[in-house]
Amino acid sequence: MGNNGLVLGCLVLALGLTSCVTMTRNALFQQADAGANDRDYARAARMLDGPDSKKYYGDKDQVLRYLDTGMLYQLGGQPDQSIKRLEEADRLIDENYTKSVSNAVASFVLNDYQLEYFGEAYEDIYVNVFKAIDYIQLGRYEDAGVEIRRVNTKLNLLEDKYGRFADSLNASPTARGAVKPGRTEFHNSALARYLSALLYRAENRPDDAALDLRNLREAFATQPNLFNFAVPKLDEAPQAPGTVRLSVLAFTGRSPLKRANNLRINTLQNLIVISQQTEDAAGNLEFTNMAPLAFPGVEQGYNFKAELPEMVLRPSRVTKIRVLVDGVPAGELSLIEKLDTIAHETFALSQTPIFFKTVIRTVTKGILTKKAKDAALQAASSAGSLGTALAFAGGLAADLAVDASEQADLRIARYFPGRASVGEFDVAPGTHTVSVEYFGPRGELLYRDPGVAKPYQAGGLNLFASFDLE
Amino acid sequence: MVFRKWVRPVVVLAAFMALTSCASTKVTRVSSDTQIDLSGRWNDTDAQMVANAMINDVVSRPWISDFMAQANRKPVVIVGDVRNRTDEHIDPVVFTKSLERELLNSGKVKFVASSDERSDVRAERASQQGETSPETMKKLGDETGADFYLGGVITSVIDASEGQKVVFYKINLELTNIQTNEKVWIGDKEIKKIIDKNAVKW
Repeated sequence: MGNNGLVLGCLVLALGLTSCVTMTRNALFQQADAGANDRDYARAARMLDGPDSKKYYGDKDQVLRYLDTGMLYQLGGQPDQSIKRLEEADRLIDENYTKSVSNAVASFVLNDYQLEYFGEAYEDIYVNVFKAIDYIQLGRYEDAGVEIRRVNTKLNLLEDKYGRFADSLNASPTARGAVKPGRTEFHNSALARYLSALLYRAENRPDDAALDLRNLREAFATQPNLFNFAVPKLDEAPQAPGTVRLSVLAFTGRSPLKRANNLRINTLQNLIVISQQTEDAAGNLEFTNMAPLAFPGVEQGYNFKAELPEMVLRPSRVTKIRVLVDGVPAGELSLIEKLDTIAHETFALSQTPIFFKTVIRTVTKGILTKKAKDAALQAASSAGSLGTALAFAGGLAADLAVDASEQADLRIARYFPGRASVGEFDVAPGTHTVSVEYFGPRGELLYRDPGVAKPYQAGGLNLFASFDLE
Repeated sequence: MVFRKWVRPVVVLAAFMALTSCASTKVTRVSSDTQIDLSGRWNDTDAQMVANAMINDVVSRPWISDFMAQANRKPVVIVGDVRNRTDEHIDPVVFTKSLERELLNSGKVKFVASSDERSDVRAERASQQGETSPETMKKLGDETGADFYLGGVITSVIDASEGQKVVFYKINLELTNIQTNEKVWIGDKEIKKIIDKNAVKW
């Protein structure tokens, strides 16, 4: 046990050293996040989209560059700039998915973050929803309709897409059919249905609009885990004659982030050491557990480290949203879609393959490193105690290198909102200032979007979109 | 001496790398009617193919002879909106221009400028009044009114499985008598595309 004590000491020291310098990808974005928190979306967009862009996004993360900056431009009221970037993100998601499927074998050798990022399922869906909102802001309703139809097509093919990805992984000799495709309940977006209904209304096609509102209600009925709240009351009261129907969409909170959790198992003679690290809010990995466990019969020298991403919600404090028209309260908004819950639920589609790939990769690396260390120790034993010490140090360095190479893929878009609320109000045709107030749990006013004076005319699509991403 | 032995291959390698890096962009000009499909999306070949087939159909139907027998002149057509109900951003101008070209080249109808183009022409005519010599000045209120309106819709259905995507486009066009609202011709054309994602090489 004396020898074990020395090795254990070295191990603790080595693990301690690695934890001192371990920061995850999330730590990079603190300044940009601060810009977004101050509602200075242009500053955040410039930071991420400017000459320093490569600091934040590698060649394989360009989908995220365009998703993040596209959303920041939308939040900052620049729909044309937003469309350009979201369109590029949409194109790259499709292109990278094709590459990933044809290059699946690589993901058993390389970490996921070293592969082309093809977006989480919810990013692939909402990129089109937010592009549709951009197009509506520009009055390009036909283009907005294209985006909504893309949402429906993608939702229809969602499980097939991830099923095919799992199949391509299973075709690898390493996987041996172990990778199971994830499942999701999400197949109908109430928010996309609502936008579609608005577009049909603008085209004076009330039957099609009514069909979409029926599909919206169906989204609640058929996906009760995702839509576990009341269906918003829309289009139920007949529009007062001579008025304009004003539609207000408000987005609150932020989409989830991914944080790293790792589990490491090191073996000594008849002993295993289990250690666990979790990521804190600032993006630093901290030890949360470390325990030696007597395990008779186990051999010294194995090192297995698996690091998996966990999706964590960033809930909003907003509990009530009130709309004012020309300073006069017009009514409250109702929740229509929990984008964050959908992001979390659809993460299961990629999480299952990630889990299998990580386990297979960890075990393979652990066994290969052990074999290499044994061979080095055997060769060094003839060189006396100095040679053995050097081989031991080399083995420790090899373990650290393997540890460093095994990192969770934390890539995810940062600036999608978490929740969408909606409301409709009849106003007299003419110029109005629509403002939106966001209240916290104790009834305190958290933020007031002052809006701007804008003409609202009969026969068009009068949508006001407001954001409070806190 | 050893150093000098290495100089030549290093220089040759550097020159080769410099030359190849300069030559990374290659442009090849092809005839505008060459069929090129890169992404599988709707493109100019589709627009041209549909316009060709549909205009051939519309000008071969009896509404033209019926109209000529009644009015003793060629019918005047205006190409209006072709609505995009697909899930691709299709530039309607490319398609409507193809329709106009095929229609004009058929020689069986006359057609007038679309509403967007008319406003420019009207502005030009208005600016001529009082500014242009009386002999060349064009009169106001002397436009040719269209007899028929050609409009329609493009829809698509997508299915995908096992790396293959099938896109089914359906293009419906209708010709409506502007005076009577009577539909004198309805035509459709379908295009089915199979896009094999596995065939993409990187």
